[in-house]
Amino acid sequence: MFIKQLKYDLLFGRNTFFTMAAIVIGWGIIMGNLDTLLQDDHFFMGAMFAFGMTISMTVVGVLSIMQVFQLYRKSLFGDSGYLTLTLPVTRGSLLASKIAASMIWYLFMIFAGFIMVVIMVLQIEGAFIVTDSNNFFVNLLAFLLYIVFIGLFLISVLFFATTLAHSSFSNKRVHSVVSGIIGFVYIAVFFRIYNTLNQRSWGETLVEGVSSGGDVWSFTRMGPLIGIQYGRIPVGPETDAVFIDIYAHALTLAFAAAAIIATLYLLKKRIDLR
Amino acid sequence: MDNVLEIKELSKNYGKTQALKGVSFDIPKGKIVGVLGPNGSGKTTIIKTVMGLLSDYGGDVRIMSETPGFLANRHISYLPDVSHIPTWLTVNQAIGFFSDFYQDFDTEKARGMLADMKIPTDKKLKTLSRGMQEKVQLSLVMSRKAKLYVLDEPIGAVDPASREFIIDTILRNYSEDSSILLSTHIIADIEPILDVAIFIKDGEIVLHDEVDKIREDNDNSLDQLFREVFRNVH
Repeated sequence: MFIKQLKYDLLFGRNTFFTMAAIVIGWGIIMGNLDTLLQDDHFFMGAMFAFGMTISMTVVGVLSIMQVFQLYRKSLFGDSGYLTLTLPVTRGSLLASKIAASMIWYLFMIFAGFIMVVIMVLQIEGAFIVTDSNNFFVNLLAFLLYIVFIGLFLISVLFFATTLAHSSFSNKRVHSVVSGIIGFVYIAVFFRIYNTLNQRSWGETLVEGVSSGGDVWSFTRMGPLIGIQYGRIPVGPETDAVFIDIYAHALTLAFAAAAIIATLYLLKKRIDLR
Repeated sequence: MDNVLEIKELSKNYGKTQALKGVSFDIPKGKIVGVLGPNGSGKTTIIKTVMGLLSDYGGDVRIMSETPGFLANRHISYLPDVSHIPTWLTVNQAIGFFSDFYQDFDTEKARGMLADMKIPTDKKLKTLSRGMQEKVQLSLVMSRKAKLYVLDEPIGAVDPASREFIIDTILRNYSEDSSILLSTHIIADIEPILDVAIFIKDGEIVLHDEVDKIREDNDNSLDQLFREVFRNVH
C-alpha cells in the first residue's frame, strides 16, 4: 500500500518539479556561457543576469516549499482529504508516504542545483577539479547527511504545523496563524540549540558550504559544514580529517521524530475535517 | 451480524455549537436508510464521524463491529458532498487509484458505466464539466462491492434529470446484501427508494421509522411530512 500511495504522491506536482529543475539547470548553462553570450557589454548585463538568476532561484526555492506544502495540505485537508483520509490505510502509512514523496522531490531539486553548479564550473574552468581527493567522498557523504537530515526536519515541522491547523482540541479548531507560530518557534529553538552545538550560525555554515574555493571550485569546502569543535567523530584520513558530528545529526533526527510523532497523534486522534 | 452500522449516543460540538445531541440508530443489512433534514441539521456531521473524518466526538460508532478508521473503511464506499477525487488525475488514473486501494473495486463495471455515459477516460477530471465529474465519482463509488454505501447529498446540487440518473445508478449497482446510508434535504425524488427514514433537526432525531409505516401513521407522503416538520427551519 505504501508504494501505491507514494506513486500517487509523486504524481502530484511532477510537472512543476521537472519544470523548476529545467529552469535551474538552464541558468547553469546561461551563466556558464556568459562570456560568450555578452561579449562587449559585460559588466552591466552580467549584473543583470546574476540578478535574474538570483530572483529565479529564490522563486524556485519558494515554489518548491509551496509545492511540498500543497502536496500535504490539499491531499489531506482539501476536498481530496475526503478520499485520502477514508482510504483503507493507516494514518501512519499516509504520513510516511507524504514525507517520502516530499524528501524525493527535495533531493531532486538539490540534485538539479548540483547539476547547475557542475555545468557552470565545467564551462568556466574547463574541468571540475577536486583539490583533496582523499576527502572527496567523505565530504560528499557528510554533505548529503546534512542535507537529508535538515530536509527531513524542516518537512516534518511543515507537516506538523499544517496538521495542527486542521485539528481540534476541546472541539475548538487551532487557528492556522497559531499553528504557523508554533512551527516557527519550534524551528527557531532547534537552530538555537544546533548552532550552540556547532559553534557557528546556520547561515554562515551554509554559505561556507556552497562558496567557491578561490579560483578553483571544490567540494572540499563542504567539509567544515559538518565538522564541529565538540562531540565529533573523525571519518576521513588522519591528516586534515573530516568530521561528521553525531550530536548534531542526532539532535536533528530527534527534533524531526518529535514533529512526526506529534503529527501522527494529531492525524489519529485530533483530526477535524470540516 | 445483522447491523452493518450501529450508532449510540453520538454527540459532537463545533466550538460552542452542539452539532449532534445523542444521536442513536442502527442500519440493518440490506436496508436503504435516509437521514433527512435541512442544511445544518447534523446530517454531514454524522457521516463524517462514521467515515473517521471527525475524531473528537462522544458516544459510540461501529461499522461491521469496527470503530471508524482504516479497518472500517474497507467495508464502506463513500461519496462525499464535494469533488473528492483529485482533478489533476485522468479518468483512467482515477480508475487505477480505486483499483489500487480497494480490493472490492470492479474495474470492468466502472469502465462499463463510464462508457455508457460516454465519458472520455483519457481526459483529466478538471477538463470535464461539473456534471461529468459527479458522474465519474458516482460510477467509481458504486463500482465497489461494499457492505455499506455512504452517500452524502448525492442529489443535492444537480438538476432533476441528473437526479433521476443518479438514483437509477444507485439502485442498479448496489447489491441486496449491502446497505445504504443516504443523506439529503430533497425528499420527493428519493422517497420511493427508502426503506427507513430518519428525520434530524438541530442535531437530534425527531422521527425514525420504516417509510411505509410513517406514510401509514401520518396518512401523508414522506415529502409532505418533511415539509410540515421542517416548515420553520431555515
